[in-house]
Amino acid sequence: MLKKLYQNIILKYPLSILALTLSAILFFGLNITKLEIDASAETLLLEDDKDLAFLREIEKRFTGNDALVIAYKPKADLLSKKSLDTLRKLTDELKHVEGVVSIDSILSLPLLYSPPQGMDELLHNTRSIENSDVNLSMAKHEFLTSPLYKDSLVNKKFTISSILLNLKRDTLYQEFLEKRTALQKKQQASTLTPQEEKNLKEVNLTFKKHRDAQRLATTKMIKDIRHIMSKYEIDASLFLGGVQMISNDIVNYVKSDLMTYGSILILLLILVLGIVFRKPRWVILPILICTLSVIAITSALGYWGWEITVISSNFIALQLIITISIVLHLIVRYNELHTKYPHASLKHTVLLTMLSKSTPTLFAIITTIAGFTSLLFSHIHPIINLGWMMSAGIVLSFIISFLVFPTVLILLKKVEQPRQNKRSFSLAKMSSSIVSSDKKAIFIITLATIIFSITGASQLIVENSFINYFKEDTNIYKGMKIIDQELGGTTPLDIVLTFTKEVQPVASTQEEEDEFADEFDNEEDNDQYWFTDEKIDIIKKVHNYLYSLKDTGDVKSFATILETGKILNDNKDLDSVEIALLYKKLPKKYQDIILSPYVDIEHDQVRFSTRIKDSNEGLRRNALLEKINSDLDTMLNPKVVTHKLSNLMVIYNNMLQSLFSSQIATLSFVLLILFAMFMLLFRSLLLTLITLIVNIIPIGIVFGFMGWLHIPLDIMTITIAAIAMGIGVDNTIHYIHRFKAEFEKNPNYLQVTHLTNESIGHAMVYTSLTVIIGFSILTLSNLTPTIYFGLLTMLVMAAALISNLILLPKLLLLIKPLRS
Amino acid sequence: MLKKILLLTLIMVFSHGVEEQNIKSVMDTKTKESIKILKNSTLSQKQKEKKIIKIMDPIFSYSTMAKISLGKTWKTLTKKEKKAFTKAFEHKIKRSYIDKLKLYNNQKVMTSSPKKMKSNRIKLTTKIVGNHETYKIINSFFKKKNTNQWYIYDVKLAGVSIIQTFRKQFSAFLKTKSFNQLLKSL
Repeated sequence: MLKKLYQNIILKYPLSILALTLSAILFFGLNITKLEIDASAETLLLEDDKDLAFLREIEKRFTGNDALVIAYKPKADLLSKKSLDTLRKLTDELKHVEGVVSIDSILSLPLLYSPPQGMDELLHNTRSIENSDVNLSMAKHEFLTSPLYKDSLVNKKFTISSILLNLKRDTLYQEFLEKRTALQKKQQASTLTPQEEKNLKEVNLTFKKHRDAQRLATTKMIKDIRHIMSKYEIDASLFLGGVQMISNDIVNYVKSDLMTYGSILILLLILVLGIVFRKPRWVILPILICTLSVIAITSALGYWGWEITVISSNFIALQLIITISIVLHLIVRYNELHTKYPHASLKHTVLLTMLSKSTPTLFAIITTIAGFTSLLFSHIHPIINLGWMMSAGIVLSFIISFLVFPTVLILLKKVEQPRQNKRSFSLAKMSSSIVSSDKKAIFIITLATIIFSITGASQLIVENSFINYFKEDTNIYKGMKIIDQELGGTTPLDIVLTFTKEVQPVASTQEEEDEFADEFDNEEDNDQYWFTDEKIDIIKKVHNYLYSLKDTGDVKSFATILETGKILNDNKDLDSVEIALLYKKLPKKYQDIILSPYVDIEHDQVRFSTRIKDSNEGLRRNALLEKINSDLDTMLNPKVVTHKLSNLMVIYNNMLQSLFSSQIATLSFVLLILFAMFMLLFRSLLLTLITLIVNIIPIGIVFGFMGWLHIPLDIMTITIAAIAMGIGVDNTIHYIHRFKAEFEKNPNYLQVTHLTNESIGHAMVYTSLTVIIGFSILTLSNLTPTIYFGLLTMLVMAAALISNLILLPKLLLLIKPLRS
Repeated sequence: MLKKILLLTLIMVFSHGVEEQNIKSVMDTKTKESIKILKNSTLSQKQKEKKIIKIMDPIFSYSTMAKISLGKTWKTLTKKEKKAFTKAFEHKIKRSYIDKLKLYNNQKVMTSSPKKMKSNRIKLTTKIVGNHETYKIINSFFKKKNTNQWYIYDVKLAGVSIIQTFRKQFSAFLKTKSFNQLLKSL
């Protein structure tokens, strides 16, 4: 059927087919404008994460604003007139940025005891550094020692201060989220009415639109802020930080990185293809097919509305690798046939090329797709997406290659084959002579590799540090590090305590007591009586515990307020009556700042807001969260109070942990699928086992390498195993397909090994070489995930090549799984 | 300001048993006397505190306050325990407010007429006029059985009842700990 299709249509009307294919791709390519890159937290969230639901509940209860932080490091003294003037001008400008609601800085934040004053004055006549009668040395002392400000507003050396940009709260987001969750719950319970189904679709659509608009607004806001900051760089060093900025910036970095290094990568690919094949057509054709495939898949993503996330950001590179592999196999095969039958007609050679390569390529593709579809069971949205994207991408690459390659070739004139490049030849040849001459070395090296892999993999750490995404000498790293280490940390972690409801005392029987009891019972639950000594003790204890941890930076809670109150109260703790009074009489604007973010009386909850020092050496996020949980378990009486951790720290950790466990699960699942596929393909258990071993080893090397070099498995590097699998399997299928074909003609293992290595081996060497050299450019990037990605891809390519060209034939020679 | 209210509270709290028709005038006098003591610069802080407590002590029913604060647990106590608790509680109340005296500075105090809630309850509202806000202090009086003497059993300042606060404290405390531990903590 395929033969007829090629003979009667594709090769008969090459121009029409090519024109049709190109115009279809270009027309469909209009959808490319709809393609979106979204690295926001939303895309990384686990669909059914209970901690996420809890976080959303907490966010609703404890009103606190999202904020960005600017670290302000003036050249002059922090409180000098010049520095304060610059700060004043800077904050005045920043106030007008769209999206910024208010700004807190050393200029605006209240000074409570510089000098000390009565509570009434404090509450109604708040002073700040802007008041003319403020004593600056007292103010400095207050900033350095006040529990409200120390280590977060200013650093210990008093050379840097934070400017807090409070951002507009996205209330619509919450609304959409609630609507969607309610409808999704019904959907899961299959109680959705047709109208509600329509509503759900609508909500999904408008919610996405809203998120997109918000994302654009955030990007613009950050750009505006940076622009303003740049104007003040003569007088001060300024760094923008905050977790929202990081996720926004990573996307921009990845984008611009891809632009710069992506184009150099294309140039390098052209160079390598030119050197290897020394013919313009063998350069233009692969590049054309790669470009068309990338256009097709990105348009498809735009059409289907699939967003590229941090996790799937590598997928274009993957698509490139797979497409190049397909095309290079075709080129090598064509050249081989052309050399073998120099007088055959062009049409015939092309037909033979396509037909002989269709089966192994199709099998390779089906196997790869089978591998990637296993990602669909991971429950992690971006991973599921990656599965779909890759499966769709591979199919598109296959179709495009098998349409464009033959038609273009037919349209081009047949040319004389130049003499083959000796050097590239020698690599494949070398591998075959290694295989035939080697006695034990291959197995010893394999064993050593396995040991290296196991010992390395056992040291693998699963950590995601956004700060470490950037090289240490970049400005963005320096800025984030300053905020992280000197101004209170980066990733937010909340600890929420829920107190159990108190049992109401039963009224006594005596008449007099009864009357009193009635009077007091009625008012017992009024908010101001909520602050019992017991609760205060627990709050202080937990606060001090969190503060004592070396990985926590800034810790804020109701205890911070109590500590401040104590300083104002001549260093005597506020008693419960005073706290109740404070609660009752505190003006609304202060309640919103110092109470509402930390205390929710209605739900008997208090919140501790901390930021984790992301750049701490040796920080183990999961272990830290486990430690906090277990320490709180021993510290708190569950009859009185229960605790729960929340916020981005927990959410990111959950995601990473489930990514990791899903990696393990999917990897084993992929192996199972591969086993079944290979069994189906080769119909030989021995052959199947051999191919599995050959494919597991490159993955082992990658993990071993990562472990030994302490490269963490993070959101970006965690997909590397999938890549390793995709590339390795591809090589194996092509190899074995050819091996079997040669074996059928001549059942001599050694000769067949030579023949296979020196024919299909070239395609494998070229593919690997092209990708390795092309991707080497990524190691020059400023983004460590890009560096690691480049490095690991190179490693995987090399490992898969060696494994398939040396270990695979060696095992075939040793085990002899085929019968003549 | 809050501390100033607490001072006035203290002044109001430590009064002596008084007949119904004299409640307003007695409270007025005691307040004035206390303010005079506070303004007397020849006295030390300690002396001021002692004098003011002496003025206020008799009208303040510590035993009733202790009883209400303890809620239902009161009934379960032996006579000896009740006595010990009352003593500790009295000490606690005095101790916790005494240091607020020094924060008093000239403020206008206005006492309104007592309001009879029922036959044995009267509430007397005093307003303290500060620079920015006026705070209300409500003294709750009860009539001792078979006498015509009225005593303060609670003071509510700016909406916060002192006895209610203690009541809540103790009930939370007793949820997980024993009465003896409570006594010790006082």
